[in-house]
This record gives sequence, structure tokens and C-alpha cells, in this order.
Amino acid sequence: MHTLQDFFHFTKGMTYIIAALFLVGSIGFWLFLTSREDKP
Amino acid sequence: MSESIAVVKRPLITPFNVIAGLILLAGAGAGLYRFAVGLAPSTNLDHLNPWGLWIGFDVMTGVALAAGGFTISSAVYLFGLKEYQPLVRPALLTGFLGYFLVVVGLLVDLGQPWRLPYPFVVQSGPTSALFEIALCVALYLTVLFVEFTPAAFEWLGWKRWRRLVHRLTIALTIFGLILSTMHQSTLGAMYLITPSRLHPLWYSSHIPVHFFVSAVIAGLSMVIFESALSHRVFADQVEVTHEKLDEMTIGLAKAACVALGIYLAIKVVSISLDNEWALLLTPYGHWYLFEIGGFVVLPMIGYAIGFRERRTTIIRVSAVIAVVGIVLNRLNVSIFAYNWQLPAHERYWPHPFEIIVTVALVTFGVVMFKWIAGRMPILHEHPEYRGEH
Repeated sequence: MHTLQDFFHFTKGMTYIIAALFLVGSIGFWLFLTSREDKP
Repeated sequence: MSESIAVVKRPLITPFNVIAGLILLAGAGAGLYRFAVGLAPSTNLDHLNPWGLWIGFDVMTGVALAAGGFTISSAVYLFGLKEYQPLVRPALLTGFLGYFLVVVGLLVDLGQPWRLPYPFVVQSGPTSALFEIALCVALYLTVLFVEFTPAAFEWLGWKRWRRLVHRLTIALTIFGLILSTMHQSTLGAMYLITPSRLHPLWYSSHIPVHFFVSAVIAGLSMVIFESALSHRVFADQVEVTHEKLDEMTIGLAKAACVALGIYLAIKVVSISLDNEWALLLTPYGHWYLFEIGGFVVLPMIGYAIGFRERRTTIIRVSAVIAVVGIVLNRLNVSIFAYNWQLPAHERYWPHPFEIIVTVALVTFGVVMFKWIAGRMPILHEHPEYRGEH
């Protein structure tokens, strides 16, 4: 990384990927959390 | 005083009272010494380290741990989760005592404590983060006091006053929620001016959000921990059955688990935005990973398993870990990771008197909670007002 443009390109790109992974992961986490909720 | 509440006579000389009395005496002595000789001889504070244990623990941590008041009262009165009603009064009392002790801690810490009201009457500085905190904490302490008064009025038998304050419940809850959202985050905002002093792993331009979300976690975890403790210590006072308490604990665990998940996500996103991955391999990085792994990820998994399997023991252990984690986070931000580049001999370490005063303040809070909860309808409903909340 040599320029501010490079820095933001890299960090924003990484952050978007991480945010997407968290969003997808949150669905799985929610399903894990609540899968037994309605069962007696 | 209302005659319908039986006053239980307890022995004055108990191991708890003796130990608490000794701690309070030591704290009063250390406090008097601080006011007699000033900050320099009685603390390790200096111009490089102007904020120490009294700000890092008594104020930063105290405010976060007192967040149960606004969290639970908002859940019950604003979001309609009436099943958590029995937790409101203990949470509000904990919040009120917590904020009261924050102000006492601040008075001890300020070089010129008589200037505490200056932000309101001399120099307001409305663009200052510190002004906002001063305003919000002063107002929220008042709100918490008013929210707590119905229990005192029921105890005293002052029906008219109790009815008057009871009508204000929703307005006070909304006001308390607004004030808490503002100052919990602004406590973090105060560190926005310290990018060169606070270690980059803890510093973030989003630190106000970190502080607010972690305060919600602290509030929920404190309510879980404190309700379990109250159920044991005040077994003769508590009306809620073990089954009902377990149901409430499990419900709170779900909320705390989600809050921890959100907190973990924003912490990782912060590292990514500032590209601080390499710092994780340094000694400070290991300490950071210890904080996040041990006190965010671990209680999150504990809460999730506890909620899923309906295991309240796991949930309560997770609550204790989460509370310790919030304490560690606030101490990291204000002490351990602050001034991290300074050589060891210039770093801050609390003076014994600072530790004694802090321990005495916490003890005072516990004694006051015990005294009030043992007399007023905090853990049970007053017979004359049953079902009126």
C-alpha cells in the first residue's frame, strides 16, 4: 500500500467482506440460538 | 411507615457488617487524607496520567454497570415485556446507587470538587463531550432517584406522592433512555481526542458505539447476576419463584447473547477499518485477544448454550464473565492501554489509597442496597399496591 487510495481500497474491501460474513453468520447463529425455543 | 411491612430484626454484629464496617472506615480515612493533603501525595496521578482508578473504575465502569436500570425499565415500560417487571426495582436501585457512587468518586477525584456544578452555572461549553456527560449524569441521577421513590413512598405510606410519581413512569423511562444513550456513548467519545495516547487496538473513531453497546451488555449481565444473588441473599423477601426467575434469566440471556454478537462484530469491523491486524501479533495484541476471546466470545457462547439448553447456571457464570469483561475493557481503555508508549517508570499504577477508596465505594453501594432492599418493597410487591405497576 502506497497511497491513501490503496489504504481505503484495501480496508473498505476487507470490511465489506467481513460485514457480509457477519450478516450470513448471524443467520446461522440465530437459527442455532432459537432452534429449540418453541419445542416443549 | 407502613404497618403492613414487617420489620425483621437482624443482629447488628455479623461477619458481613464487621468486614464492611472496617472497609468503610478505611475508605473514610483514605478519603479524608486525600482532602487534607490533596491529590499529589494521596494518589499516583500526575500530568501524564491525570485519570486513574477513580475515573477508570468508579466512573467509566460504574456508569456501564449501572446500565441495567434503563435497559430493564425500557424493556418493561416501552417495549411491553411485562414479564420482567419484578426486575425493574432492583435494577433501578442498582442504577441509582451506581450513579450516586459515580458522583461521589468524581468528587474525590476532582482537584477542586466544589467546581462540580461549574458546567451548569459558570462555563457551559455545550460543544464539550465532558459537558454533555456532566449534564446527562446529573439529570439521569435525578431521574433514577425519582423512579426509585415509589418504593420509598410505599414504605413510608405516602400514597398521594406515590400516585403522583407512578403517573410519570413512562415519561421518566423515555427521558432515562435518551439520557443513557447519550452519556454512555459520550463516555467513549471523550477518548476520541486521544489517538496518540490510547493503543490503536482500543482506539477507534467508533469508540462511542463500542461504549454504548458494551453498556447494554453490562446492564443485562448485571441484572442476571444481581437477581440471582438477591434471590439467594434475600430469600425471605423475594416473592418471585425460582421457576419464574429462571424464565426471566433465560430471556435476558438471549438479549445479552445478541448484544455480545453485535459488539463482537463492531470490534472486528473496527480493526478491519483501521487495518490493525498486524498489531494482534504484538504483546498488546495478545492482551486484546484475551479480552475479546475470554470476555466477549466466551460469555456469548455461554449465553447461547445456556439459552438453548435452558441451563441457568451456565447463564449466570456467563453473566459474571461478561461483567468482569466490561470492567477489564474500561480499565484497558482508561489505564492499561492508555499512555502505552511511555516507559514503565512513567506509567500509572493506582496508589494504595486510590484502591482503598474504590473498594470502600463499592462496599458502600452493597451495604446501601442491602439496607434498602431489606426494608423497602424492592424485591417484593407492597401488599397495598399488588399488580399496580
